[in-house]
Amino acid sequence: MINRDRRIDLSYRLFNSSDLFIAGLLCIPALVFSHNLYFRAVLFLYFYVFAWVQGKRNSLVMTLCISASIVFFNLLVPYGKVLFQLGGFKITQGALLSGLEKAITLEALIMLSKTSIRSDMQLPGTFGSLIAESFQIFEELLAQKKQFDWKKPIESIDLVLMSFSEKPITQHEWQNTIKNKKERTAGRFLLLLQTALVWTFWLAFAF
Amino acid sequence: MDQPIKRHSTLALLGALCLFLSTIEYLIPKPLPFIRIGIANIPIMLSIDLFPFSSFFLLVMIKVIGQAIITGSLFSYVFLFSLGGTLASALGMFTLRRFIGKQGISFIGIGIVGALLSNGVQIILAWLFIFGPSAQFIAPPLLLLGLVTGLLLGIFCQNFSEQSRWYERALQERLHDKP
Repeated sequence: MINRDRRIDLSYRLFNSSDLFIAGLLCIPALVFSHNLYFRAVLFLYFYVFAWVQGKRNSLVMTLCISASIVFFNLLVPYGKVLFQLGGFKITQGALLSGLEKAITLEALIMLSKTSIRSDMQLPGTFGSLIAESFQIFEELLAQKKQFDWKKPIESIDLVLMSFSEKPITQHEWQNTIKNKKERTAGRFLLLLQTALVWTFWLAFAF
Repeated sequence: MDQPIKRHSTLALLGALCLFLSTIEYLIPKPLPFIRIGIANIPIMLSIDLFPFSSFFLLVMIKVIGQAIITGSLFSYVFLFSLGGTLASALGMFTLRRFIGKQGISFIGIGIVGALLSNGVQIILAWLFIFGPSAQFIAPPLLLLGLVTGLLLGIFCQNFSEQSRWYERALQERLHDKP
């Protein structure tokens, strides 16, 4: 099993954040507009694995809990054929399918998002530089989080705001780490292949 | 000639605090993806008296988009919930505070209104995208949770605004900058 740090490193060497963003954007229509539950489930599994490959943290227990709660709430309003009964609680086909569809779509979109959005993504314009500056301070805050005393939150936040408002800006590289052109080409090819496959299966089997 | 030392803008600083608090909140497990205590809204509430509307709106967008980048939820319904809830509560809180004034409504008041607005919009979105009519069952606990968290955040912001040296200085700078 490849450890998480190595997976993150590989992902940064292969993929550029803008390429990931565009590839993710291109896969959204296939996921949202397909009416085939199996296709959506396959996409969910694919993006779950891809998120793991990129070293993104995922909790299978949380994913299952969220899906179960969505299915449960959908079952509260029964419609369609009664499949079985648990005490007085009717499990109906329509409500169950609707719940499964919503849960799978939501989880698949979350996984797709995780694979497509990376914190080194650059946004254009003044807003882009402002958000980049916020991310720069945020990274410094994360590095200092052990100094935060959560028993005294007011004093801690006040101290942090005071120190950062007086601190001069340090130059920060907000660039992708890809140096090797071959690796970048390979990454682009993989993302192109992913998009082509998703679209082909969507248009051929699940449109 | 010496270059003047560039310091972080208050807007970027509060934006970073939103992202930091979002990360802390993200680590707290929850049964539904869009349920949040809302600690990342603290900088937004504090900024109401510090910024004009344009800067306030930018801060709200930094919070929503930055949060989506960190959690990787930009392409999902979760982003829509976050955007809808944050915009509704931010606009509601800003309008109330500016129209009624500091003497008329405290941070506790705007905290409660903001949380209820945010949860109200999220219930509507949950009705549309996830739960359908079953959303009526999650509405009461969600609104109750909103009431409690809004109250707690409001109390925190009220105390922070009274005790923080940074906040006092930022308020004075804002008064100084006003024509």
